[in-house]
Amino acid sequence: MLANYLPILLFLIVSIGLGFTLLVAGKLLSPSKPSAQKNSPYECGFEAFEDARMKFDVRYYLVAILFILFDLEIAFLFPWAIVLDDIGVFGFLAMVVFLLVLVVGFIYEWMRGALEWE
Amino acid sequence: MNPLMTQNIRSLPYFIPEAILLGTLLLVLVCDLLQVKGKKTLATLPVTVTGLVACFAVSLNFGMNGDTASGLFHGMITLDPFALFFKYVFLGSTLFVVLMSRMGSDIDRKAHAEYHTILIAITLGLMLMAASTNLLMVYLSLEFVSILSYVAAGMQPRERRSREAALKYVLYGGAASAFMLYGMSLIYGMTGTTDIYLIRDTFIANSSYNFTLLFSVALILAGFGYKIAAAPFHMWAPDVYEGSPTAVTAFFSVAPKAAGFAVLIRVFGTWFSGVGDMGGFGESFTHLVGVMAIATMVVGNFGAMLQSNIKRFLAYSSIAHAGYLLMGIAMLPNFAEPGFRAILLYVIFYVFMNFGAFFVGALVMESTDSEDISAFRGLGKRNLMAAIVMAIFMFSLAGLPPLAGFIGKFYLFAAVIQQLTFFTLLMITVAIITSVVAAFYYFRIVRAMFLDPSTDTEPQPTSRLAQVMLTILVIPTVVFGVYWTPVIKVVDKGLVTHAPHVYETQTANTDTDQKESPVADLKTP
Repeated sequence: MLANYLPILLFLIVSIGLGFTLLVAGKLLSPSKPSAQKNSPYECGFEAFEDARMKFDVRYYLVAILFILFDLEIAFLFPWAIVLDDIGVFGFLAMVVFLLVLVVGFIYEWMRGALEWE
Repeated sequence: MNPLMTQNIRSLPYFIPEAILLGTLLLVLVCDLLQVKGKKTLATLPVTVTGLVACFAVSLNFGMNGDTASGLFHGMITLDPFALFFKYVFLGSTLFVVLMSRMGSDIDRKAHAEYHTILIAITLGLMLMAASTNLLMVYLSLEFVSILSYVAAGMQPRERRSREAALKYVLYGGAASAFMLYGMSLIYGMTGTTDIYLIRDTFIANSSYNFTLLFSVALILAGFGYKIAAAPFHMWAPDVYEGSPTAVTAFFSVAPKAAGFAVLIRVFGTWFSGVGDMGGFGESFTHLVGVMAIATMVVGNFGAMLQSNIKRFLAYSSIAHAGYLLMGIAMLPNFAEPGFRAILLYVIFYVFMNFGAFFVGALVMESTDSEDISAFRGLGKRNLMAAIVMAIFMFSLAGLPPLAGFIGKFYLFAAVIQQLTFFTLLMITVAIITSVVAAFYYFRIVRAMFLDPSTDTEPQPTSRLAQVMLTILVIPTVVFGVYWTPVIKVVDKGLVTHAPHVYETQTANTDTDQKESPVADLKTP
């Protein structure tokens, strides 16, 4: 049983070994002549405007989560639409129940003001 | 009609309890919306309570009629006495917590509808957890409960500690789920199925000691262990318990824990009990879970000794109790039945005594506005009834006769001692020593209530509803310590899980095409 995992072990060894070797080789073989210009961060040739680690508005996350929710719903709807002929009334009703639950949630977030930016 | 579809339709009647909860959940949301629009003021509490009671009644009806079925929705869930037993526990707990948070003030009144929605949804998840017979469903329902628990922990968004609790819970939960999924994927890789009964068949077919199996079981244990807050996966518990609203903490310490044990028994009980030693695997399993149990007992009991915050103290105490219960799981490969019976028995007793301890704790915290254990000082003078009741819960949690906690512990220890090996003796020794430690710290509360000097002697009466709820909790704690035969009967009924491969209803149903074996079922395109 365990022998079946030998390829994975080999894969791990090779990948770690290769990565390590390349890093060490780069360190040892490449010429290293750092200067102030080379070490300074830049964006597209300009001086950096500000720190890249800036704060995001937390509301983006709310929008993102809501987006994922309704995006996933589509992922359910497509296969359902394709096999609708085969699954009959029951399949149709099952999806209606699912959408009903979802719609109540949607109305809830709408009326609670989760979709308004300000 | 398509046979796959027929099975789904036939499964629906057995899904009514869950459907009722789902309906209640939506109804509460709609009630809340009407409140927001200001058209009408609808209280969500009656709706929530009615929904929970209706669900309980329907579940009870299934239980009374012996109307059970397995292999529902293509082997995803089952409705056996075991699942029903836990459904009662979950619904009772939720009902209690809903009423308990009605009295507390830590959750914003405006947020109560949302809070009820989350509680109902968690209960729905817990019920699915106890009923799952497929690894996919186990994972989904566990995650269902977890995600909503994160929200419940953060129900006081203005409190820094509450936010911290929610975030810590998310991070730990995510990591634990990842480990568990990895373990499940290894099991799937070995057996080629996610149906726990089919997996068992594969184990029986090639019963040889297998390192990969032990490894994946250990990984899955990480996920389940996190849910029951067993060491070394307990670190989230004290912080989350401290930061969450008190009623939510009480809920966390009972319901998801019970569900965690339900899943442990369902999954590992199906896989490894009565399978035999499987070439040394059984012993390894006992050692794996046993070491976890020992660590949990030590960490929980010694941790509780050092706490000065009431909620953290109760958190560690609940970790310790998970340790005792884990001993029952550890005995599973050879002596499954007594261990399981002891666990189910303990769960019932634990619900009453732990809710009781939390309830009095919440009353004290509310009236003194302090979470320090010193808030208990002089409670004997301020409110004699609450103090006496709290003393009973503390003695019961410590496992003193003649209270329910003693009987629970007695059955657990008896289940472990059935097999006399060096390891079981070690477990029992640790359990007894840590029980003594436990007695010490539970008595500390009792001493604070009655013996410690206190300047504050102003009487603080409890409300009528609180008195009723305390009575409901304290009577079983006392009575079951003396007369526990009815509980044993309920437990023995609840121990019945359905034999694998009966993909049909258990009631008088002679329809032959219902007897689809799961293999055929899974192979149908």
